[in-house]
Amino acid sequence: MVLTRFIFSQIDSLGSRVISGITYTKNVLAMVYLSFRAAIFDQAQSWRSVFGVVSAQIYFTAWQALPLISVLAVASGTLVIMQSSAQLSLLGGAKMIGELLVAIVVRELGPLLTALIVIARSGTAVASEIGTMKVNQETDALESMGIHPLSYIVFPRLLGGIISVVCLAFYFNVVALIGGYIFSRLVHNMPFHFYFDSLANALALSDVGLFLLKNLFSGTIIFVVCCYQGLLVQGSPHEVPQVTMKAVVNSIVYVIAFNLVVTTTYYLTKLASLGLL
Amino acid sequence: MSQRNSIGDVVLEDIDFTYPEHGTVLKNIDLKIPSGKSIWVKGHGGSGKSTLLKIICGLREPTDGRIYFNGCNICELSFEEFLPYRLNIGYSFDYGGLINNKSLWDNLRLPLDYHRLKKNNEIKQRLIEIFEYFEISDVSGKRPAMVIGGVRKLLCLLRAFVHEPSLILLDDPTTGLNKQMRKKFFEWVSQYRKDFPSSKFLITSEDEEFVKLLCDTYAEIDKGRIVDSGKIQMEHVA
Repeated sequence: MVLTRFIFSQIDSLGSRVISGITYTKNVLAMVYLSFRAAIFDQAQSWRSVFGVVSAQIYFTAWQALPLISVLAVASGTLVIMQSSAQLSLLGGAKMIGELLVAIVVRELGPLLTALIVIARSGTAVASEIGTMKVNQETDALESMGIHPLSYIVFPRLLGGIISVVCLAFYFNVVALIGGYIFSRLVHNMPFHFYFDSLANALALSDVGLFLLKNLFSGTIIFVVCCYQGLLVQGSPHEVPQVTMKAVVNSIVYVIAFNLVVTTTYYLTKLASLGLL
Repeated sequence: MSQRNSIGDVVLEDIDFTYPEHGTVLKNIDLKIPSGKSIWVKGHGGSGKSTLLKIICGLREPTDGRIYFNGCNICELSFEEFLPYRLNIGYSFDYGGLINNKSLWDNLRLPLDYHRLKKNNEIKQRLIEIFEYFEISDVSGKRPAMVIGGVRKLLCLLRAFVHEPSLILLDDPTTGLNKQMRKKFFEWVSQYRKDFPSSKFLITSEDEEFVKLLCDTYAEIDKGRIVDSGKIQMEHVA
């Protein structure tokens, strides 16, 4: 009897989590739809005012994060080369260096580390800023002036955030590959044309698609979740750190889950195309 | 340039409002705000005065009832459909309400600029006049957090007037203003009423002297219902 109760309580708990997850996703998607709708129907909103908020978001999310991204990218590129080149040299497969860099840095580390940095720097800022705006009745003030809060607050941040994530991930990949080359040159005296040819042979058109898919959706997930959490604040300042924390946790979970699903699908498709599945 | 609809007389019929977490706040509210008139909404704290103003402004949707602007029930309108009316409403919050990442100048400029209600040089001229009149030009470039509470309150009030609306809703307008600001603001409102004789005001305030000089009638709210109303007599403001 005790075991039966335990099993049913676990099923209840799972069901409740699934339902709350579905409700959360539904509400987030509704906010995205409403913010796009408001931005399209808001005939008063000039491109000048949208551009102002979008450019501020890009400045904060992308430009100010460049030093941190640079350090991480150089470290990632160097570490991958350091670990792999020693093993590959022993096996006589130095030409595979490009394949490894593309698989590890371009496809996986670039999008994931960029997303995590953006969550830590900008996701928290967006969630707490919008939460504070709710506390100070700024969203009500905008509405009272005939300015749709979703069109004025969410849409430009979402647009600026997505552009920033894609640009940062591209920058991360370029810097990581350059960092990797410098290390190879200094330690293994690898010629540039060898390194470049190896990379060029490894990169395929599908990598561009994968890069865009991962980063466009990661950017969307981060800024949608953080804006939504910020808007959940009812009016008390103590809610702001709570929603910020939830915004970070949910963004990380969704971004990692999304990356995992995309990567798994990509490799299963690749294996299937090679006749190995 | 955004279109503005005339509001005409404002009529509230059988308005109910319930907060899901706090229960019923307003019950069976019937009120008419004729053009050119000013009404003082009086009542204790928590009686539903601020909620009433927010409902008229379109910030809260009544649980039940109808609100007519010029014969049109605004409760049935979407955000976009209500916008031409909204641009003819000025609403001032009891606290907060300024955009914190914008300077005082940009806060006042926002409604005019966003909806392109005036040309750029006209906006600049109007804002210079306002800041000079209230002697706060020296802080116009500062953000709300960098100025004293009285200036923040004043800016919030002035933002309700800057686009020259015909319906003005002031929630506790004089709390936080110093004597000089209060006097200047009173003179400003009196002049506004002369310049725009069809404008109508709904004011919640504990400052009886202020409302005595501005309002024609009063409506008293208690526990969410209008319990008394009439012309303002001297005994009401004693």
